[in-house]
Amino acid sequence: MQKIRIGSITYAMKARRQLSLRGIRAGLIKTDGGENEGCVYGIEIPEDRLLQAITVLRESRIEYRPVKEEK
Amino acid sequence: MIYFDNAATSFPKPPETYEELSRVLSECVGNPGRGAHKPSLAAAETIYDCRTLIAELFGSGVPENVVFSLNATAALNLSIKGMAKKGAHILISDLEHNATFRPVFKLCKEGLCRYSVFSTKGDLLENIKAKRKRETAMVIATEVSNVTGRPLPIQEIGAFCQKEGLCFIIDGSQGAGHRLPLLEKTYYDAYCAPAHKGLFGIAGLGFAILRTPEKISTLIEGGSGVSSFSPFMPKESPERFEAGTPPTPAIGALLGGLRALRRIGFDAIAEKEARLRKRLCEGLSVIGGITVIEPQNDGGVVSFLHREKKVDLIASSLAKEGIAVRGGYHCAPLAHQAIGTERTGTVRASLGFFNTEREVDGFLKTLSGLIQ
Repeated sequence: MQKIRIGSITYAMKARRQLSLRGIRAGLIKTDGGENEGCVYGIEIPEDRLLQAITVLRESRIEYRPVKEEK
Repeated sequence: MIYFDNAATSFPKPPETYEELSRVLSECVGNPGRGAHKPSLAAAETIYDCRTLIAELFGSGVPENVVFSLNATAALNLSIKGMAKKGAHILISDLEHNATFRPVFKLCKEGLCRYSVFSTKGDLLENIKAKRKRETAMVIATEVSNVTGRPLPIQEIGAFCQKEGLCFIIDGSQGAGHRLPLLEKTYYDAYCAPAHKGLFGIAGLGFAILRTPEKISTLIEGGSGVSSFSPFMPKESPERFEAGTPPTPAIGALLGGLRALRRIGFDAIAEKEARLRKRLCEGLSVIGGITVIEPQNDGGVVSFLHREKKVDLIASSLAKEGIAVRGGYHCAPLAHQAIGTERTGTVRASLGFFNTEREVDGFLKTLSGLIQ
């Protein structure tokens, strides 16, 4: 699974809905609130849908960035 | 009990309200936007569902521009104070509730703004133009009067504001849930409404639908979940305006109420309320000494008074007979000045979708007996 950082819970929910409307199932996750950012949410999607998902996020004007996994 | 106080708080609620409230109280018990656990995410999901349904039903389209607040008054305070610039002149209609009048008055009392009241009689747009000043930056109008039930032409006012570059705030307290919302066809900067009236939610919740939230200052600051180490509120709506823990149960109840509205349909609600109103006004008109204020309106709000008996006495006498109405000024002094009842107030019987013809007839019979 690929994790994508979105930001607030509202925008993470929006991202998940937009992906769902295009047939991409995404899970909601709370990501590492590094950089003193507090409660940051994101989505978890199958790796084979990553490019499609990014296209949807861009079209929906939802800011995102990849999540760096903790070692 | 005959409950004719729906303009204050609607009762009863449809089954969906109680069902969703119960579900949220048992399942969505976490703090939304703050946790990774199931109860927190479930609460967040309910809140997002509610934002989405509001945006859909009201035709505003953007869920994140729906900002929850304590009630419509708080939503109006946010919209007015968040958008009013120093030195601005504000125009408000002569039917405004204190939820609009008092925040505007305070801004003016503090020397930050000036205001004028425009008449809603005759050609409303001409009245606005006549009161407009070079510094006029904002127009505020109620969608429907909470005293007379008279609707204002918000689409026309919105079109005027758009053309003239004025900010337009709508108080939807008595319109939301009673009329077909037309925000997709209406220019507005903020549309404010409560959950507990026509939308079948419960008390403790209101919302503002904002057109450009990024241009609005915050009214309260505090924890938002995100950007914790910044001393500033986040830029993004709705978190920017929703400091502190939101009332998830009330939001869930509103979600249920909105689903009921969608099931019933705005046209069916408007048709039934107009039918009940007509029956009520016709019945009141034949009771000696009663004057109905603007019986020609079509909403559920009906105001009347008696030539001798005081409105509070009528309301309290009806209460003893198990009939709930409201007597007095309904927190709208400007409206009473506009309709000439500033010395008397009115008795307000406000009908809702769940009222019946039988209740109207029972009310008329009881009132007639009390009056004579």
